[in-house]
Formats: sequence, C-alpha cells, structure tokens
Amino acid sequence: MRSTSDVLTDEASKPGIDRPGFVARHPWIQLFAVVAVLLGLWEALSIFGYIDPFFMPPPSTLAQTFYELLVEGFPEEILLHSHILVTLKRSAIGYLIAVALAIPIGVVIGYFRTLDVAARPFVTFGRSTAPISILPLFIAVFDIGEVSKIALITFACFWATLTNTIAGVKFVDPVLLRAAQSMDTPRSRIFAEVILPAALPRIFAGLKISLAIAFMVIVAAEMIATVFGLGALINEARTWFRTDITMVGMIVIGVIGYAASIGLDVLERKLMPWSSAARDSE
Amino acid sequence: MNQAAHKIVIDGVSKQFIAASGNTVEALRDINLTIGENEFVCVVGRSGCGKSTLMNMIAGFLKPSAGSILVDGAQIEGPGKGKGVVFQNLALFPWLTARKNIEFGCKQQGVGDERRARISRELIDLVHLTGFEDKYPFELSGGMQQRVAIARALAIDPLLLLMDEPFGALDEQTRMGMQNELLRIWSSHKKTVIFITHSVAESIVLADRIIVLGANPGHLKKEFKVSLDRPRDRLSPEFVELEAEVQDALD
Repeated sequence: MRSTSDVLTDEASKPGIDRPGFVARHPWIQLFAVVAVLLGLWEALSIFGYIDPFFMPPPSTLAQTFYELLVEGFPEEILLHSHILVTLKRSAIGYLIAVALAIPIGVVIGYFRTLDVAARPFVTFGRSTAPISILPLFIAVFDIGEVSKIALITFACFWATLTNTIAGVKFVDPVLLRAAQSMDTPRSRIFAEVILPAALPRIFAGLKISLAIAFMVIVAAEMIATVFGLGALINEARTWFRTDITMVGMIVIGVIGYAASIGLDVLERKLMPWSSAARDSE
Repeated sequence: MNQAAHKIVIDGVSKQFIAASGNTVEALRDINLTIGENEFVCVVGRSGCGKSTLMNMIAGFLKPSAGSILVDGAQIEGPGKGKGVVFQNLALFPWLTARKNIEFGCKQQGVGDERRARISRELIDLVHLTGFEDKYPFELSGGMQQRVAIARALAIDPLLLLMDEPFGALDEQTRMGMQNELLRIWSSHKKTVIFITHSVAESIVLADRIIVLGANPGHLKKEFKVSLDRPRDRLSPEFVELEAEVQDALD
C-alpha cells in the first residue's frame, strides 16, 4: 500500500490509472452547479414569459422577498428569524416527546412477542392514519394553542420511530443471540449486550423518518390560529396572494429539514461508525 | 488448559421438527457416536443431511427429540459452559471491534480487565490479527473476520470447539491458510473439535476421523479414520485415495 499523497498524485497523473474525477471529489460543487443551472433556467423562463411570475415568481423576486422577510417581516412585521425559531421550537418539542415515548414503548413491544401480536392492529391503524385528520380532535381536546400543534407533531412522528424500534428489537439476528449464549452471557444481560446494539441502526432509521415527517406536518400545525411560525407565514401569504412569500417559506422549511437530516447523519456516524447506514451516507 | 478436553457420547439421538406446513420433518435418526478427548472430528454430508442440527444439539441450542448427548458423562443443559461455537456466518457482533468481539465471552464471565486484555492480546497474536484489533468487522476481509470468530470462540478457553462450515465462504487460497492455522491452534491448545464441512478435501486435511452423514432423514452413513501424518499432502496417493473413498460414501 502506498500511503503518501505525493505518490498517489504521481500515480494518478499517469494514463490508465483510475481515480475519482474532480467533481466526484468535490460533491458540493456538483450541488451548487445543479442549483445554479436550475435557478438560471427558471429566471430565464420567467423573463421570456413562459412562467407567470404571479403564480411562480422568479428567483430574483424570491431573493428580494427573502430580504424583505428578514428586515421588514410578515405578517405584522414578524421577522423571518422569529418564525424560524418558533417553528424549530415546536418541531423540536413535538419530535423529542414522540421519540421519548416511541423508543421505550417500541422496545417493550418488540421484546415481548405476545405484546407485539396484541399491539399490531393498533400500531398499523395509528401508522396509517393521516396525521392531519386527527388535528380537529386535538383542537377539540387541547384547544387551539401551542399544545394542539405540538401534539400533532408528536402524533405524526411517533409511529415511524415506534414501528422501526419494534422491528429493530424483534428482528435481531437469532444467530447473534446464540453466539452470546454460547459465551455464557447471563440472560439478564442479553438485552443490553446484544438486542439493543443490534437494534440501534433500525431505531436510528426510524428517527430519521420521523424527523422528515415533523417538517412535513409542522406547516399544517401552524396554519391553526397563529401568526407565528413558518406555517403561519405561508398561510398568511395565501390570504394576501403573496406566492413569493409562500415559496420562500417552503424553501426555508426545506433547507431546515435538510440541515436537520444531515445533523442526524453526522450523529449516526459518530454513534455507530460500524453501521452500514452510517457508512452508506458518507 | 491443563484440564482434559471433553469426551462426547451421542447415544441414539433423533431430531424432528414441525415444519411451517404442520408436517413433522425428521432431521436426524438414531445417531450413535463417541468423540474422544482432543479428537478432531469432521462431519461431512450434503446440505440437508442434518449436520448443522447435530451441531446445534451438541452446542445446546436444540434438544434431541430422542436419545441423549453426554459431555463428560453429563447431559447437556444448554449453550455455553465451555462449548465454544464458530458459526457458519460467523455471527460477529458488528458493533464491536475485533478486540471487543474477542473479549466478549470473558466480559460476560466476569474475567477481570487485566486478564481479559492479556487473553485477547495472546489470541490476536495467535490468529495474526495484530494491527487490526481495533477495526470493526466490516473493515476486515472475510479471512480476517473468520479469524476473529475463531479467536472469540477460543477466548473462553472451551474444552469443546464446534465449527459449522466456518471456511465455507472463503476463497480456496485463504481457506487453505485458515486450515493450517486451525491445526496449529488445535495442536497448541488441545481441545476436542467437531468441524462441519461439505468439502471432502477439507475434512481429510483436518480430521482424525471423518463422519459421513446421509440424508432423508440424516443418519450416520460411514466413518473414516485418517491416520496420515500432518501436515497432509493433498497430492499424495493416500490422500487422493481416501478422498475418492469419502466422496464415494457421500454419493
């Protein structure tokens, strides 16, 4: 094995030696290039009249709107960063409550076969219920304040983490359990030594799906009786026919969701460098 | 390691399973076999002849439907207790490094840190994994993973080592290297070894005695004593002749 980069560069400059191309080695360049081309195309189509800027404002307008939201605010002069903070806070609370409930419950259901069988119809039912459909119920029970919004996010996030935790615990490779038994692992320690670590990648997959769901439902949750939050921003924009604000709101939520999911990937690689999911996302 | 290795007496063992269809499947019928202390026994047979079932019963994972298996005169009550197992698909813990995998058994048995570290160091050395001890299984080649699995089974200092086609997934070159290493380990840490394989040549390279199982239901078909001196030359006339005989019994 050659180890110094000098040697590698030298080798790479020779013909017939494969190495990743410049773009492959700098994935960010690729991303920026794609985004730049798409934005340029969009702007051009707008300029030449192929896209009605009223329904779909061009990037230049969105940039202006973004600036306007940052310094002037909308609605009622609420600045963009306060919307973002409110949305982040609601999603984080709702998400964390969901995860804090779903992981222990999922572990218990996954561990006991009879419980799994008994819980299955409820889990399937809960998982297939569109979260938004339960919002009227939450509003009736929790009123239209913060609680019903957070409850909606909790409900929506709960199921993906729950089902993945159940599956992770239930489908531990039996041969790993046998291996542990063959090395005299006490019955009381099998869970901590084998089942839990074996289930972790799956549990983490659930956490990621739930996070994505949180950012999907937050908008709906924030459309109820509030002017704070990105969902409220989008909703208010609708009443004023400000499609530009709606789009900026969408983009901001998308970027936040993307950043959060990258954050979870990083955390996963840190916690589980051995997991195949962590390796694949590198 | 001054204790004598295990003697195993398999007496009239049969095993039936209830298949998903509800039918009873007879995996093994009336197996009688005695395996001596420090003996290296290879079990060969076609797939479906019940050789893994036999191993799982000796390991204590399954109970015989009839008959008994005695280890040093005592009925097997369950897995563990000096029965080391190397699994067909290795069953390494992916979340533990090579060293932690090897130390797993010692940790479960409450072996102190210092002694555990010494044992794992010796085994890492023995199976030539020095420099790779802090790698996770996925970072190791198939042959290296294999050696981790063997070291892990050896770490609990088993008197009986059960190996279920452990080299099945290796290329021929690595496989031959592993066979030599296994023999080297076996000669330095005398133990009773039961080694399952479907390769006739492998069984002749390794075993003191070869047990041929027939299928439908699994039964004891024939046994061969291998009295060739080790290391065995695969091209010697005696080797080739025995290979043909065992192959014959298998067919």
